[in-house]
Amino acid sequence: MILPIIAFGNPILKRIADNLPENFEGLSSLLADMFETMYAAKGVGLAAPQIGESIRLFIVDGSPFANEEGEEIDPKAIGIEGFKKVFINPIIEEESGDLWPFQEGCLSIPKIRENVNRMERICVSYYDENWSFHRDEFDGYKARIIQHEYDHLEGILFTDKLSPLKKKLLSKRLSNVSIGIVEVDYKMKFNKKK
Amino acid sequence: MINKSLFLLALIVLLVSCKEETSKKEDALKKKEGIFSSIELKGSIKQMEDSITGMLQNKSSIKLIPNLTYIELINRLKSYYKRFPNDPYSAECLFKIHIKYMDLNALENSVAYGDTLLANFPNFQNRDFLLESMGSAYDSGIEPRDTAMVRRYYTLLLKEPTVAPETREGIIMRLKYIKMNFFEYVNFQSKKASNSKK
Repeated sequence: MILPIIAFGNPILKRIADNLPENFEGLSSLLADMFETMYAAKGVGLAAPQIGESIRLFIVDGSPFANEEGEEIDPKAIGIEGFKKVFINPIIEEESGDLWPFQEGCLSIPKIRENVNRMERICVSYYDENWSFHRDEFDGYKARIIQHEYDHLEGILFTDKLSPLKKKLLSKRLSNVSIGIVEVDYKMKFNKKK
Repeated sequence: MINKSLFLLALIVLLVSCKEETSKKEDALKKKEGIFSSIELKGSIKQMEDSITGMLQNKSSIKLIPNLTYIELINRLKSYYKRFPNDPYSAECLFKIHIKYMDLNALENSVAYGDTLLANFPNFQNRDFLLESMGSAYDSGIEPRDTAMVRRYYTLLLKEPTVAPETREGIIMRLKYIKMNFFEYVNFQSKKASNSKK
């Protein structure tokens, strides 16, 4: 089932999400719905708050970033093919390396893309969909996607990381996104006044 | 007579070469101590800026520009301001430092250099842009949010004759609802727009 994606402006996107208990009911169907929703929106990551669930869970599939044959090899994309994962109750233990800029977008904030600086490498601990514990290191786009989705669990959007002046200049477009004055080809839930 | 002339010529050559040597030594010493001329410093700033522009234009390296590159540029800009604080180019340096620190999200540093620019070069040509940038830094960046500072810079901005009418209107509205933080204000604007559509 494709779920509507919550648009910028909904308070759930600004909330710190709660940990999932191990016996969380309906986890597998929730994950299936989240993957279906993410693929329908052509995203590379989706966090539970974006579909209205304030829980510490996100999914990723970075394969659209994979290097294509004949194209110049992007070192940040090495190993991203098949990077499809579920992160439950994740903790970013460590971030390291230089900050690097990348034009990020977000399914909750369509049509807005801006450069965001993030560190190159992360070490993250998490549970997968089978409640197996992992502690892995990621870099490049893999780290970038995880950092972006992890921020959602902390109530942080990529626009929060922009310079104040950029935020100010974007404020009109953000308020338009919030009420649905934006062209979008996937299902969204906007914040129309009741 | 010939001998005397030759002696004089040799003495002149010796004196000139000694002077050149001394001048070279002085230059070397200045460089060692980090004392560069205005032209040299401007050249080193331009070289750094060109290098960053080159990296930004190159798609494969855009993602790999380390922050140290920007910090090096900031250091060169600071050197110029430190060495020539009253030179008009120092105003440009301070402005660039303000912007670069803003890009690096070092907001406290950014506003500190913005304030220095406002104090030392009150007629700086991008004053309106700078005031808007300062106001927005206090409005949606620096924590805890200080509404008095937001009001201070936005009020100064409204006094600028060059401010575009729509910016002016936006600033007046922002000041009216200054108690709302950025997120609340964007939501408020959305609701207002939504209501006016009905």
